[in-house]
Amino acid sequence: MSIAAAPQAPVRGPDRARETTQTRLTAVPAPLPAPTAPRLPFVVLVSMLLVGGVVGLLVFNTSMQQSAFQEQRLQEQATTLAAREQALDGELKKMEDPHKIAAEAKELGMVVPQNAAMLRVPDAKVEGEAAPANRSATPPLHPKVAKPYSVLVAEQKAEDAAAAKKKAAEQAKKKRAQETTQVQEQQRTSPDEAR
Amino acid sequence: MAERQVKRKVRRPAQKATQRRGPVHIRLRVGFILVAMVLSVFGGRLVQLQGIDPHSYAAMAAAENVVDVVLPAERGEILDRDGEALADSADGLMVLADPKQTKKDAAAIAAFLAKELGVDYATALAKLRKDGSRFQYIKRQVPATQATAAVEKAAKQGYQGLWTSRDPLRNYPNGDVAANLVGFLGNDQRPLAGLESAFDKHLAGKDGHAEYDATSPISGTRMPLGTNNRVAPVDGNDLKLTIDRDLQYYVQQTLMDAVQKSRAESGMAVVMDTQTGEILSLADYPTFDARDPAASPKTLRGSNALSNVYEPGSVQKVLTVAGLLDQGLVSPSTRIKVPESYMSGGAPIRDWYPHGVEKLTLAGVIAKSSNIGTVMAADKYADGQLREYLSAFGMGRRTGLGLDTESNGLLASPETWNAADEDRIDFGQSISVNAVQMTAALNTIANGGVRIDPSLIAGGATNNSGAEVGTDTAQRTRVVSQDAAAQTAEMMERVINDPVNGTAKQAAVPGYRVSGKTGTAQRVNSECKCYDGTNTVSFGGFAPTDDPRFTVYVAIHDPANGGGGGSVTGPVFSQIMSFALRRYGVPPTGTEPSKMPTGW
Repeated sequence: MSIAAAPQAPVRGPDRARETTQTRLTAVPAPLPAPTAPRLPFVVLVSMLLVGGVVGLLVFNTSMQQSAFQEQRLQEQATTLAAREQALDGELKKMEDPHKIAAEAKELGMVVPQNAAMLRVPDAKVEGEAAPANRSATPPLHPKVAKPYSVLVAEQKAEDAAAAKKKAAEQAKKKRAQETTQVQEQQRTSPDEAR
Repeated sequence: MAERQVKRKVRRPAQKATQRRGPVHIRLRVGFILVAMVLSVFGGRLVQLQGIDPHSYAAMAAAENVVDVVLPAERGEILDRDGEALADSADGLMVLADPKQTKKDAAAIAAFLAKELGVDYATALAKLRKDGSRFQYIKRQVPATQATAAVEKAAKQGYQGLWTSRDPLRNYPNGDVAANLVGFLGNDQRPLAGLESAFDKHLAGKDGHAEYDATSPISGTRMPLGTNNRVAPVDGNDLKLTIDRDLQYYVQQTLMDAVQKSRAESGMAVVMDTQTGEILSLADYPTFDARDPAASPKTLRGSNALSNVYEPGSVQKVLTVAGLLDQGLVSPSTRIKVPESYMSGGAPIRDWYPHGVEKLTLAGVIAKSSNIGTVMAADKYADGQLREYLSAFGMGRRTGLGLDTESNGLLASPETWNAADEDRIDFGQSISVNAVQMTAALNTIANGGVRIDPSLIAGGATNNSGAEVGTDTAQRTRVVSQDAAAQTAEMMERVINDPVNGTAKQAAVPGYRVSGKTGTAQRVNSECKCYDGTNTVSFGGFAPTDDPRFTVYVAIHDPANGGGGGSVTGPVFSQIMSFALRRYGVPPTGTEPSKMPTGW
């Protein structure tokens, strides 16, 4: 070791050179081994970082995945609730249908007033003529006849048109059939002519 | 020695093998060539994947788990003036079946579906058993909650092969109320009539879409940190109408009653806000149910009040006289000696009732609806003047409500205009109108001589043809002077309140001053282009006379009971007017009714 250290001395610098001139040559004590940090803690730290990172990432990913599932569940719930709200809203709107209200009012014996008077509060004056309510201003709820005249007319026209179309189609078919037979006849007769 | 022997023993077969396989360098070469060949195959494949077509495999890999869903835009609602929905949208689903999977349990599934979704058992059974098909509609446009519940329940019971898919619903909660205007959507959600069709671009909105990596394409669970592109849907705009739903209902029912009682072919009624030109109600009868349009013939799935033209008859006299008054050519007290008949263009003009020579004032001519009296007064018009007035009243052109189905009406062009026609136009024949045109013209008289474009859209909206329509863009134009309008209104009051000459006492609204005019016109048959002996009876008017709030116009085609404008449409007018005045809390004006002399 010392042999190895000696030629290195002059390289180290002028300080060491001065020392050698002042002191006698003695055996150089073996230099302390280079101060090495204990390896184990470092390895443990790095492994922990590595493992921690991997596990952390895994946990993070898992939790993300879980929240994705939760998001999906909540989304479905929101959709269901929105659909339910729409369904209820639709029901409410159906209940507000004037036809329905009129039918229910009629069941309760209510009628539309013919005429109403108005009371002007400041001078306590009655304006207009009130008339007792009878049924004369209350229109019926449903049509009296199943189909009005113009519907019958329209249906008749549609039927006629359909019949005419059918007839035309049949005629066209007949004509086609005739034409084909004619063509066939011509084809049959033409070889004769050739002869 | 033992080692050597072993070595020898080992070498010997090796030497034998070398001798068998040939020299080492040849084996090396062969090996090298083989390796090179394999490597070049790998290399070639690498170049193919990375160099020639680098994206397709990446795309395939990505597509494996990428889900692309349409985010449906919600179609705008059609609302009445108070915000009540006339048409609204909801999420719906269609229930579908895969017959290949459902075939074996078809009977049980059909029974289940009949119970849960109310479908017909036999039809469902046939669909579930259909050979060679993997896709059958079981029921369309089912409310989302009901459809999902049914399919989940089916899965729980072990029935395979049912699933749902998006199928938006359009609801018309009021059935036939305003269906003639609102229109409807077909099964494929394409608009087929009415405002739904005319304002489709305004209502439709734009679907968005979301693209993301999913853990599985079926469950649709989003993969965190994966692809995530989302284009938000743009919902459609609502369309707010000037229609008053409850008034519309009342008008429709009243009109229906009148048409049926008079055994007529059809009828139409319009209620207009005098001061704003807003259409509060526009009714047709017969009409259709927007929830089930297929149940009615095609011709009824729109508004005949807008698309059909007819000759208005005597209601038109009001316009003729208003123009005369505006020109200062006559006054309400102008005395007219009305003969039995009047020759015009080689044919006699007669009145609707036989009479000898009658002494009527102009007010009397209107009250009694004398054709001859009107023609004689209108003779004072200079050439072309009447046409100008009628054009200013809005005849012969669309009112611009925004519906493309509206007709123009027919007003002879200045080139084809002749004196004989003019005499007939004076009392409303040889001219064709639609109901809204006529209402808007009468409303001009009610509104002190200023015509307002009628509107159906509250605020404004642009229809598919690019026209901006609505109350915001309604134009006001003066047609006749305020005095002329007021005098005409008073003469029209005599139609109702003159005990001797009035023709429409049935149109009175007790407590209110009411102005109106009857009309009975011969109808032109569209097939023979001739008068076919049937009539259109009508009544138009407004109240209160001295401060009009509403203009109401009712027309009924071909009443079989032989009634006229006063007896058939008068009571309908009275009921509708009374209801509207009461509904909007319009008090009587409390002034004295007109007592203008009608005879002399």
